Amino acid sequence: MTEISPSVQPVKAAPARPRGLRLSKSAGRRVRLTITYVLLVLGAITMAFPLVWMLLASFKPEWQILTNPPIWIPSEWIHAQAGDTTKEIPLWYVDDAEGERVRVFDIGTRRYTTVVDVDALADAMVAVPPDDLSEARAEEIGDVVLNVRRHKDGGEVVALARDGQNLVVAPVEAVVEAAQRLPLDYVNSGDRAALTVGDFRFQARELEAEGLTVVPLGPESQLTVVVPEDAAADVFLVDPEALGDFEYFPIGETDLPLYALDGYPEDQRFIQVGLETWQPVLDLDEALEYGFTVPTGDLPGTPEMRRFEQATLPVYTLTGEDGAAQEVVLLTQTGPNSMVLPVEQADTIRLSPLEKLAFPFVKTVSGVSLRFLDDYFEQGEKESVGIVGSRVDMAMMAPQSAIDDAFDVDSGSLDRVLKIRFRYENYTEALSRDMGGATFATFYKNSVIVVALNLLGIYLSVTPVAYGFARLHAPGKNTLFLVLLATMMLPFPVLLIPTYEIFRTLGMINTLWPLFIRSFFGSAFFTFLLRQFFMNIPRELEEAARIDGANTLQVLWNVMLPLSKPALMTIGIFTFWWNWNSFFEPFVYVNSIKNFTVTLGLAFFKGQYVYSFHWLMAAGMTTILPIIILFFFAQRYFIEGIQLTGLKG
Amino acid sequence: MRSSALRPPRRSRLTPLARREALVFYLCISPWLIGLLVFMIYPIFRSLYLAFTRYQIGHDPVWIGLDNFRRLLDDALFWKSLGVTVQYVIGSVPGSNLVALGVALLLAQKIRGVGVWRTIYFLPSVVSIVAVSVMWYYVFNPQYGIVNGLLEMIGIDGPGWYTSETWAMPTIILISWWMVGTQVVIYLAGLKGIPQEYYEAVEVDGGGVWSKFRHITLPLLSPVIFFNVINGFIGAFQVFDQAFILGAGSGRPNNATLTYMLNLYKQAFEYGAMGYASSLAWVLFVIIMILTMFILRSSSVWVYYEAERK
Repeated sequence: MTEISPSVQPVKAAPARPRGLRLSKSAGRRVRLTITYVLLVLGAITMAFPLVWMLLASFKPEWQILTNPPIWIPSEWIHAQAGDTTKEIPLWYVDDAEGERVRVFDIGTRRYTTVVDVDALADAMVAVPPDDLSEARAEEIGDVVLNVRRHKDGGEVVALARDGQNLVVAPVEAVVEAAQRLPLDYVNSGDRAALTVGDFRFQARELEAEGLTVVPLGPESQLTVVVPEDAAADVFLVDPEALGDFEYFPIGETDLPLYALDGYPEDQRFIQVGLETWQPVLDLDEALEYGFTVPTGDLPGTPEMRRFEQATLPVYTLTGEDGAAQEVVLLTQTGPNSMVLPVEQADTIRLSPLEKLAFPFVKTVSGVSLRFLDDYFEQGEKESVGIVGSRVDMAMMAPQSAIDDAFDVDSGSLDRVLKIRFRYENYTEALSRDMGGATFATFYKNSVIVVALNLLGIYLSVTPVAYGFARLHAPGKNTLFLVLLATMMLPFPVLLIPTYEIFRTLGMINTLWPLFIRSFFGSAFFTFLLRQFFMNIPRELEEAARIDGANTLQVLWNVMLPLSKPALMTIGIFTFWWNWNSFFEPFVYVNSIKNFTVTLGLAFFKGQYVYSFHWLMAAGMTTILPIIILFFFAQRYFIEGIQLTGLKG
Repeated sequence: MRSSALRPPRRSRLTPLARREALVFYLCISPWLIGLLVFMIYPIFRSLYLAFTRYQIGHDPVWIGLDNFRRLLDDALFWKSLGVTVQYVIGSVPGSNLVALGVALLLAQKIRGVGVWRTIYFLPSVVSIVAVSVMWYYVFNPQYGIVNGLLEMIGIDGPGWYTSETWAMPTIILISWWMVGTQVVIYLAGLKGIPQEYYEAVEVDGGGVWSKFRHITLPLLSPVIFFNVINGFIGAFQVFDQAFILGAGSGRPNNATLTYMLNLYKQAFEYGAMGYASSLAWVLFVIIMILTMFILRSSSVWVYYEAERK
């Protein structure tokens, strides 16, 4: 602000140079306006940023919410379907040999480190105090990556070892000659050896194949072998037991093991794309419709392990009362009870990768707890699945032909393939997710009930009270009006405990009643507001109605209320606003989840790890949305209401 | 409901018509009267009584005289929560009023799209603090948060915000500076009430922007500032929601966010010490009363009322 004043100063000189005045005055105004707008925009960004961010976050998958650097626009990862399995393989963007950006997936990585043959450096090494050296910086020189430091007397060196307080260094040029990049697993497989060269001691590894003893220096690097996304169609699952011998197959600068597989010709080789734990699942409808429970003790003998697709589950043969045998698959067991499914109906059993099965629900079916998921995605279709049987480790394999197009890249150059996508399912999931017998939709319903009854109560009670104070005469009226004003100043903490007692005596704790019942007994603030409004309505209108024979109720309804719409709007909006946002009162009076309001529900869900961040964002947005919409359409009443008394914030 | 207030006093000078009107009046205000008795007057006396008792809900209160108040003086949590609350009051009231005044001064300029600007500045104040609290976890996240990200850009190692004992309360205070919409609206109304001629007079005298602000805006706005400060002050002493949410309901970390109301709530509903909690409520009431009185007294020094000059 102060910077502006000099340009406004010429006002003093006004009479002398009217032209100059006009010019500098408008210039000053322009400067002031510019500063005003800059500050307004900066302030608006600060104000709006958190809400805009929350809105965007409510459309993100969970992993995009807390990231560094932040991901602003909601997007989703693109996957390739791995053959006939239920697995989706992450895709990455990478530049191929022609420098074209292609979509690939990762079939293996190998870590590398730089090793040095220090014998070859015997003459080049010196010990220097670390203070003479700059920080190390990884630099790629020739085939190797070295941690280069600058010496204070000039020249670049690489530190090879510690010598007491000092660092043993050698010039970069010499080190490059003696260095090579080798796979980390290979280096680590060599025996540890203490090596003494000149006056210095080194921690080294003996590499038999090279006939060398080398010192691993780092930095480590990682090469990833990738193949174009089409190859994903050939991926299949096998039991890791079936993996036979392997040999390394060179791909670019690196190599990957190729395996023989039991049950395939000797000369066929396969590449292992992944090894992870899988969980048998089946269609939930099928499990619930055909599955039944039997006492665990009635399951005869040891089961036969039978394969259903790739899943292996125990199969028992039950004998019915009529002597007929029935083969059943054991799905799940809860202590004394087991849930089984006739083998004929077990045709939807398959394996699912664990990452798809996060946050399952539990349903109890005749004493057996069945874990299930109702937002499970497979081949792009949403399904409900039951989670059954025990987990197995499975290897994902691709035929050797898949690596014909494979190439190696620096692991750091991979970018995940993303597509902008607003994940609106966050909202449906957030509202429908069952949390201990209630969903967020329940909380929404409760809040709507509470707000609606508050509105009803406030209108029913405030109108006659305000009318009485505005228009009618009676002894004691002025004193009572002062009392009404005084109650606005009452601090609620003092009333808290006795009010709680009252509701407890009335048996209203843990119901919605305490959240609205007091509205039926008026409100000092709203009464005052409406009374002021009534006072400004000309008496003549009322008297005309009275002459026509209207009673007090009819006067209120036909004359006063239609004329008081703005005040009634303000009252309604404030009632909605305060009750919708109210947290403390529901928190004190309600503790069963079925009666939670939205704010209480949000606070509760925040503490539940299974209700994750993206749902909280979506649920939070649905909570603030009604208020924001109300504010957009009725901004005037908000502002007038606040101006009127400036009460409450 | 039997109450003398409900029955119109019989006085001979009331005509039958006036008596009828009085009857209608009392009928009209009866909902409020009943509410007043049940939800105001009775609770006040009950609360005052309970403050001198040992009382658990479901049991009979036991009169213990001044014991609750003696206990309170020795209660480390009481002092801690009072300190935390005072910290909040000192940080939030002047800070949010400065922000609100600044915003109101900007919005009072002749700018385009006042409605849009006003909406943007007001929106944070209409939404529920609980609903947006998850968002604050991101903004102030020590590791991934945008605030520490921005600080890092200018080479500052950001603090742990709500996870740090020192910074948890400042975090809540900063959030309170974000929700200044109602104060802005009141300031704007106050600014509109200042006659334009006064500013013109300053211009004639050769005064600049600062002179206008210092000699016209500030004195004429001081009653509004006073109103906002008093209101903010009373509200800030009773802060609960923000502290509850960011302190995970327990005043985390290490009671750094245990506000007075949070402590009171815990005493009453978690430890079941209803009598003690009542005494805490009355002590809070007295503290607020005394400090409000103090501000009221001081107001004659710094609040300028035009009427006084006449």
